[in-house]
Amino acid sequence: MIPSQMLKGTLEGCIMAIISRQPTYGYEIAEQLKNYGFGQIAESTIYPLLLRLEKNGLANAEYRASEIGPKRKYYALTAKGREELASFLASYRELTSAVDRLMDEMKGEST
Amino acid sequence: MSKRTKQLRRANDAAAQQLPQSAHCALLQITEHLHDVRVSSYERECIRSDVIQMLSDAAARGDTPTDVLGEDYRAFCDHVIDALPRPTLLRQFLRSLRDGLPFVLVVYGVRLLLNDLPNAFFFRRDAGTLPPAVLERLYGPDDPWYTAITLGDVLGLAFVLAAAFALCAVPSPDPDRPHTTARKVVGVLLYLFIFAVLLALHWLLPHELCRIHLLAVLAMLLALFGLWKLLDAKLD
Repeated sequence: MIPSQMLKGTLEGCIMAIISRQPTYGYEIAEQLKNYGFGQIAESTIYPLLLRLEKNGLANAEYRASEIGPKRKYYALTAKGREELASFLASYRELTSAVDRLMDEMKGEST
Repeated sequence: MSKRTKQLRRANDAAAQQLPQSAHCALLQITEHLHDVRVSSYERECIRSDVIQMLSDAAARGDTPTDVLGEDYRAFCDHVIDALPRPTLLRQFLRSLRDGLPFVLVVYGVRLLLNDLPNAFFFRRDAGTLPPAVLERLYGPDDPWYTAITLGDVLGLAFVLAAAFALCAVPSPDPDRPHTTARKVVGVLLYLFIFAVLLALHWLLPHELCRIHLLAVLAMLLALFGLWKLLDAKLD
């Protein structure tokens, strides 16, 4: 299980990546994250992040009829959100490269 | 509260009735935690709508409110509030003005109806029974259709506006809790107290600054009413 502190800095970016492909809603995002191996992430964690994306103009929300209850809120990435996602992915790749280099050096030292 | 907020609240109230008991209790707690000065009435109803939808879907899947919202509802609400952008100072000021204007209109409207207009229509100078100084004090030196704006009036208006803004800083009552009789009595007493302070200032500080026609007073009150309607339509 990935520690929550490690998830903290990357979850918003991962959510942006998911909604960049097609508009989707909170529970579906949680299910997709689970399928990718992020573990069980509650909607209570995802909803504030989606709200922040929407209020900052990175995501649009539209209501669609659902089978039961009130209409569901579907989130999709805006153009500004796509730029932000590209920036996040570039930063993340830079971070993972640095961590991989460090891990390789540590492995080399231990052998 | 704006018209669209009222409409959304009605829709939310209707949707909340369809929730199972456990989800309804969770929703009540969350609504209570969302009563924060950083959250406008409209934002609160939007969040309430989203939470109702999440709880409704969860109930259909067989999940509990805790599965969806976690065990700590206050922490959930704190994260939601933190996600909302801070309103600008101008917006906060306009919201306070929007919420305080009805207060000002009621107080000055009542004074116009109970004091100034009766003076103009019904009271006449009676030089035989009252000393001139008292007549001057009651009706002014000229036409009763003109009312004096005194130093007390200006300070009274400042006091009323300050009281209105101070009351706006108090979170509004929980919409899911009925307005009790005690709360209504306190509200009426508060209005009476502020009205009494207004009249007292008018009498204690009678230094006249200017005189204006009652129609001008009525026009100003109507203009303030128009301003309130505009702010109510434009602000959340």
